[in-house]
Amino acid sequence: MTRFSSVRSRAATIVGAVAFLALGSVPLIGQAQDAAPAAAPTEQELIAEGEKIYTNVCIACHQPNGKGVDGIYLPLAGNPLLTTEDPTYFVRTVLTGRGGMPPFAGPYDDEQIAAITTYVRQAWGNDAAAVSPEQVAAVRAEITGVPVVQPTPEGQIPSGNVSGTPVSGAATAGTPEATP
Amino acid sequence: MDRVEGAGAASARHPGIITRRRFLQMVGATAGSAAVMNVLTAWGQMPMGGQTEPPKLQGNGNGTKVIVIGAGPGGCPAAWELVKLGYDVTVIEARDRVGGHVFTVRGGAKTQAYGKDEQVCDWPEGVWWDAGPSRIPFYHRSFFHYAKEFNIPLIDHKNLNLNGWVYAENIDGPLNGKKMRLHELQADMAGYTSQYLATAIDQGALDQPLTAEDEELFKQYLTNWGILDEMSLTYGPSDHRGYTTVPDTQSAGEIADPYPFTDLLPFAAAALRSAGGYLAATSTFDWQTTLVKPKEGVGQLYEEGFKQALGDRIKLNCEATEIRQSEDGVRVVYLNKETGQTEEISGDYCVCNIPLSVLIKLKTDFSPEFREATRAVPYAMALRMGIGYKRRFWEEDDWIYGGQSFTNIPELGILDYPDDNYNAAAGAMLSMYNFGNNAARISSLPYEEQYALALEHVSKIHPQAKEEYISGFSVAWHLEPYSLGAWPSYNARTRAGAMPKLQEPDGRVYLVGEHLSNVNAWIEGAVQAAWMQVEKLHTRVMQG
Repeated sequence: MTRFSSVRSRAATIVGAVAFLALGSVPLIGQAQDAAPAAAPTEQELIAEGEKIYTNVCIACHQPNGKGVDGIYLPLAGNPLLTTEDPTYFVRTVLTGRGGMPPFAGPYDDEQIAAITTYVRQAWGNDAAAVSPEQVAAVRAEITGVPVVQPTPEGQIPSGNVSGTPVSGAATAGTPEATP
Repeated sequence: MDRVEGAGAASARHPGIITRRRFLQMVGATAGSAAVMNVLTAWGQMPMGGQTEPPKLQGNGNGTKVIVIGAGPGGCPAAWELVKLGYDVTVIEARDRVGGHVFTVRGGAKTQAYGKDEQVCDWPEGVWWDAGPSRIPFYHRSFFHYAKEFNIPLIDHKNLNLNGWVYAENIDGPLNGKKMRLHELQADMAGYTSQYLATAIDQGALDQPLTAEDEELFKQYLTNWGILDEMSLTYGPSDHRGYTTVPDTQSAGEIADPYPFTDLLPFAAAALRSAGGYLAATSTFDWQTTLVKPKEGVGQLYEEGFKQALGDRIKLNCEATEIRQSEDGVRVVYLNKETGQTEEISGDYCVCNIPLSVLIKLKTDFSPEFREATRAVPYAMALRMGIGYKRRFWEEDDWIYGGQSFTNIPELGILDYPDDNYNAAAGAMLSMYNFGNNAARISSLPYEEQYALALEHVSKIHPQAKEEYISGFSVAWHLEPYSLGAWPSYNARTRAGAMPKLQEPDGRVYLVGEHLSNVNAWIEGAVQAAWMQVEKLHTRVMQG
């Protein structure tokens, strides 16, 4: 758990870093992540972390039972698109967002995206294999052309720009630094 | 084309720079010398360019029928300009009010968010707060344009108040969990920065290629900016950091010593990093003075302006479900929420002010390419909460009249005080504003827990908050029907790929909204897009 909480706080700073990109003051795209290599998380660890993220974030739209809201927020429970053997579609959707759903590539690192998708693929009667951080990294690289975003010092939080997906050196903005 | 290439060559040498001479050459080449004179005449009044009023269009729509879906920030101005051009306009709006994202909350205001209970505002008469856009920057000219056209009185949105609080927690040092006035923080940081720089100059330690004259001027500037002692170049107490006891008949007042620099640094750094940090209020183009709003809230422009002007052309409680089009017309199917019946309306064109996040849920027959573009842009999450208080303790106790306080609490963000009706009994304050995952998590809580969380945080800055609490009103825009998000999250790829496609009509359907502009999340973007689409539509109709 300790390791996970440190991952979480580090990821939070990445959001801030992305926000700072909009200011053009922190060059960070394209730098390699310097975190020490950690042991691969077990499936149980992924599920525990995934549940924590789900009940803190995803739940707002997709509801406690994973059924979403009819016609508005897609159901995750019993959704065959999410339980395919190859999880690429699911992982990509979480990373890039789709329609009303925000992208989560900014706030979450590969292990956390693996945790969320693994949890959903096994919750509410869903039954599919775990997703590994390496699988997420591969999809992320395919989307962004940039493997991982360099974390910055603690405490940075977004000034509105939570859009996330870094795209080859350009600011991800869409949201002004001073919000409406 | 030669002329344009010439302009391109000039800007290639100086990217982003067009000199006055160059600009006049371009105007003269394309529009003639009279236009040059007009530009010269206007130059004094129009320093920043951009489109500042609706396009001046010739010809009459002669009753060409346009269905506008959505009486929001973009739909209303589009409808109104089309009416003035002679079109037969009908506006269908899903909500029971106009304005869409523009939402001034008063007693009686209601929301029914997805997955939540109904929320009803019970603030007393005269208390209001903007759940959506709340401040209009001076350069958002379209708002000033319509406020003038509709005679809507404007007041300052103060935004920056140096007597507001700054609060930081989870930082090192003795100022952790403390608050200080913004004037204290600003004076101290300017003072210390000046002191260190001026001393470095004085000791010849500033590693910069400056002449002796430059260094002297720089030192003078720093001495005045930081309020340094001219001889010692040290920073000390001055009234720039405010009084702890103001002058009166008995004393000349008391000014506290500056905070020790090493104590202050963690606080100042954390405060600057925080969401909507205070520096934004002094220096960003969007947040610097002057900002304005209508006297009764931003919604006043829509409720008293556009709604009155458009009259019974607006049909409320009509939720569009299908947009169909053929060679010669469009057909919009909608649910009449008053009767529960499905109805439809036909016209020649459709102007659609539905956020992309909602539009993709409708049944449409857009081209595959257009449909893909509507699906390409995800939306951001944001939660704003207003709390009504029985007593304006921030005015009576803290002497804060309007403006904001700033915190580094991610869940809380900023506090934004009422900018008018000073000395009134009650008032509502922006008491929570957060984004992304914070917004998601907090919005998943029952409303009573959300209000309690906000009060807990607000009490760190204003301990009176709990005592004076009336009720909260929380709007998580990602959970709001007909919004499904706070604003579009464009990235470089969707900005270059999807947005240009969305700006063009699909058959007879023209989108409007801030999602079609580079001014996302602001009313200005929606109006600019409306003007752009009205011009395109009208030009097409005039060409037959």
